Amino acid sequence: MNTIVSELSMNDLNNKFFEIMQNEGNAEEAANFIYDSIFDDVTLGFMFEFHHGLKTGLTDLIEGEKEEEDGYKIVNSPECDVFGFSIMKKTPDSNCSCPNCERPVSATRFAPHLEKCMGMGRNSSRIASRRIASNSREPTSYAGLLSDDDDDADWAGGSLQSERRKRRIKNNNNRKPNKLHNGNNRNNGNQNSDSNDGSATYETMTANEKKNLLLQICGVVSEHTKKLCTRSTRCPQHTEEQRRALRNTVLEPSTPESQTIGLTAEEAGSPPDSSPSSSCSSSSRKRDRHRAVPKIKNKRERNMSPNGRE
Amino acid sequence: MNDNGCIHLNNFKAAKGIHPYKIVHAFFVSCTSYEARRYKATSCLCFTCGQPGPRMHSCLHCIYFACYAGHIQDHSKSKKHFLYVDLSYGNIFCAQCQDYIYDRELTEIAMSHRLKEAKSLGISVPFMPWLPNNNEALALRRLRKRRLISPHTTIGLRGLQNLGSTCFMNCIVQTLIHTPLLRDYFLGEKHKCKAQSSGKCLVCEVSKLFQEFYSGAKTPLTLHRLLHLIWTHARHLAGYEQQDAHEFFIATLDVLHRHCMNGVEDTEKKENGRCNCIIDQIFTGGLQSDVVCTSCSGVSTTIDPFWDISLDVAGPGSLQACLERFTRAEHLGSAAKIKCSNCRVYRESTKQLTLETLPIVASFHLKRFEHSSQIDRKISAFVSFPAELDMTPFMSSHRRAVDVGATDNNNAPEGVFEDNRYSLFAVVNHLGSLDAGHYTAYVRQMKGSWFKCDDHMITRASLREVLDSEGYLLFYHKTVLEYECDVS
Repeated sequence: MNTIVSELSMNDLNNKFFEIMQNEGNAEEAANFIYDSIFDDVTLGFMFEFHHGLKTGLTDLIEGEKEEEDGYKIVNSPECDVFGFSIMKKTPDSNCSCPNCERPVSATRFAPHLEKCMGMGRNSSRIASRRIASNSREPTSYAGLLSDDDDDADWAGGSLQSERRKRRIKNNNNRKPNKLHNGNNRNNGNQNSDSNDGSATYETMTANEKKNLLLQICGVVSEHTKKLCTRSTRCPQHTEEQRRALRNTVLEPSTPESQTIGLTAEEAGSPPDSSPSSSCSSSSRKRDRHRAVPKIKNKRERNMSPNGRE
Repeated sequence: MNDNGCIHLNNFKAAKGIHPYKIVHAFFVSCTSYEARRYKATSCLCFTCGQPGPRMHSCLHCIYFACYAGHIQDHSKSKKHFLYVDLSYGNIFCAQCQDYIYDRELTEIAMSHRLKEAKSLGISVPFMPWLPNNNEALALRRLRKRRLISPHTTIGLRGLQNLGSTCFMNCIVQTLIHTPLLRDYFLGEKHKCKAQSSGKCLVCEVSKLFQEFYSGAKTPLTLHRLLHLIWTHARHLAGYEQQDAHEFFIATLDVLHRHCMNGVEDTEKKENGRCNCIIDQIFTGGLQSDVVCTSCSGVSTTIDPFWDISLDVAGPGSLQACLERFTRAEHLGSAAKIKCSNCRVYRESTKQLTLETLPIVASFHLKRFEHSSQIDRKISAFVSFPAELDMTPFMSSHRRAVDVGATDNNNAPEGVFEDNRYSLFAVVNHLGSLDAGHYTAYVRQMKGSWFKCDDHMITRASLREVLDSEGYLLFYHKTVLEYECDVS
C-alpha cells in the first residue's frame, strides 16, 4: 500500500480509496488490514480490562476471599434431602401470623384459613360479615344484626373446635352439595353454603350504613329467607345484574353512588389492559383473537384447572 | 481500590486541568460527533512515519500523534512530554512510571463520551466493565467473604412449606427463583421501591425471598405473606380451590408487573408504548397473527403480547411438534367467517400464528387438563421436550421466508443471524389424578445441576429424570443474550 500523507481532505481520501480498490490485490490487502485492526483492538480491550483490574486492585476487591463452604455442603444420601433432613420425616408444623387478621395460624392450614379470612371462598361469608361488622365505623348500627356465628377451626389449638367441626360435617351431609368451582370434591369439614346468615334488613339502616355495607358485601336479598347475602361483592351465587338492581333500589335517592358501587365489583376483578394476556391455543382462542384480546379474567371459564394435593 | 492515577498525572491535572484529555478523547478516541469522526479519519496517522498504526497514541501536552512502534516514545523523550493517550480506549501511559495509569475522574469522562458516541451513531450502548462507586467499593473492602454458587452447596436452594394444598404456589416460586435473569436482577438489588417496607409490594416480597434462598439457611420457608399478597391483588383467583399452577403463574407475573411500577416515575413507565419493567423485559414476547382472506388474499396482521404459550397435547409427541402445529396455517372454514377489510364482507380465511418477538424466558403450558360440561379429564399423553431448543422455525421472519421459498442466501430473511437457542431451566409436573393431584418442580440451579422441589423436600435430580418427566409447564431461558438495542 502507498504511504498516505497525513492531513488529507475527505475528498482526497474518498478518491484515493476508490483508486486503490480498483486493484483486486489491494482490496484483499485492505480487508486483511481491517480484520487485523479489529482483532488487535478487541485483544487490546481485553488486556486493558485485565490490567485495570490488577493495577487498581479492583480484581482483588471483587474476588475477595471465598467463604468456607463446609456448612453448606449438599448431603448425598438416599435417605436425606440435600439439607440432610430425612425424607421419611414430616416437617414440623409451625405457626405463622395471618397478614389479614394477625392471629396465629398453623402453617399447614394457612391457605384454607386465608381463603375464608379474606372472604374469598365459599365458606367465607360468616368471617366476612364478622370482619365487616368489627371494622365498621358505626359498630352499633348493624353489627348486631348480622350473624355472629361460631368461628372457623383454623386457629391453632382448641379441642372444642374439633367438636364443632364434626357437628358441621354432619350437617353438611344432609345438605345438597355446593356448586363446585373446579370439580373439586374436597370436604373442608366446615362447608357452610348458606350465604344468607345475616338477619339484617335494609329497612332498619340509614342511607350511610347501607352504602358502607354494600361497598363490602354482595347484599342481594334471598327470595326464600328474605335475608341479605353477606358474601364478597364478587360472590358467585348472585349475578352482577342482581347486585346492580339491588343497589339501584336500596340506594334510590343517591343515584351517582349506586352506579359507582355497581361498577366496583367488576373493576376490582379485571386485570389492567396493559398486561399481556396468557395465550391459549385452543380453537376457541383462534376464533376470538381478532375480535378481542382474551383477558385473564375470561380465561378461567375455559382454563384447565387441576387440583392440588389434599 | 486505587484509581487516582499517579503523581505525574496529578501534577499535570493541577497545572492544566482535565480539558486536554477531554478534547483528545472526544475527537480522537470516542468520536462524539460527525465532525470528530471526520477529524479522526483524516488526521490519526503517525506524524513521524505516516502509518495508521500500530497502536496510535496522542501526546497529552501538545498536538502530536504517533505510533507505539517507537515514535510516540521518541516524541515523549525529546520533548519531555511524559503523558500520552492510547487512541483505541483512551487510557493514559505515563513515561515516568513506565505503565498505563488509571484515574477515576478521567475514566468517567471516557465512559460518558462512549455513550455519546453510541448515541451519535445510533448504535447500541457498548459494553463497559462494571466499576463500583465509593460506597460499593467500601462495602466490598469491609466484607471480604464471597459466597459462591457451586454445584456442591445448598446455597440458592430452599424447601417451601406446604400451607394446605399450596404446592401449585411452591412450584411457581421455585421456578421464578431459579430464573437466571430474575436472580441477577434481585441479587443486584435493582428494585427500588416507593412503597418500601409497607409490606404491600409483591416485588419487595420476592426480593426478600431471594435473600432467604441465598442466606444458607436450611429450614423450609413459609410463604404466607406472598400468598396473601397475590390473593389480595389477584382476586380473580378466588381462594385456594383455584389451584392451577399455570393460572397462578400468570396471575403472579401480572401482580409483579403491576407492582414494578411502584418504583418508577410516571414518565419512565412506558418506552415506545411498551412496558419496560423487569417482568416484561424477561417474559413478554409478541405473537403475530396473520389472517388471509381466501377471496382477495388480503392479509390482516395483528401482534399481541404474550407471557406464555398454551399448547394442545393430543396428537404430537414432542414439544417441537406441538409448536409446529401451533404455528401452522389453519383454514377457518365457513362457520368462522371474518370480515375482510378489502372485500368489506365476511369471508372465509386462513389464519397463522407465529412468534414475532421472543421473550428471554419462553414458558410453555401443555394443556393436560380438559374441562367440559360432560367430563373433566387429564391427558397424560407423552410429550418429549428437549434440553436445548431452537425457536427459529417458529418465528414470523422464518415462516415468511419459507413461504416465499427464499432458501438461497441472497434472500436470507431478516434476523437470520439472530441466535434463538433456548435452554430448559425449570419443569413443573402435575402428578396423580384431577382431584387428588400434587405438583412438583424440577429446577436447574446451574448448568448441569438439577434439583427436584417437592414442597419442603429438595433432592438432587438428573437431567435424564427431568426429560423423562411428564411435563405440565416448561420453562426455557435464552442461551445467548444480546445487548439492548434501543438507544434512547
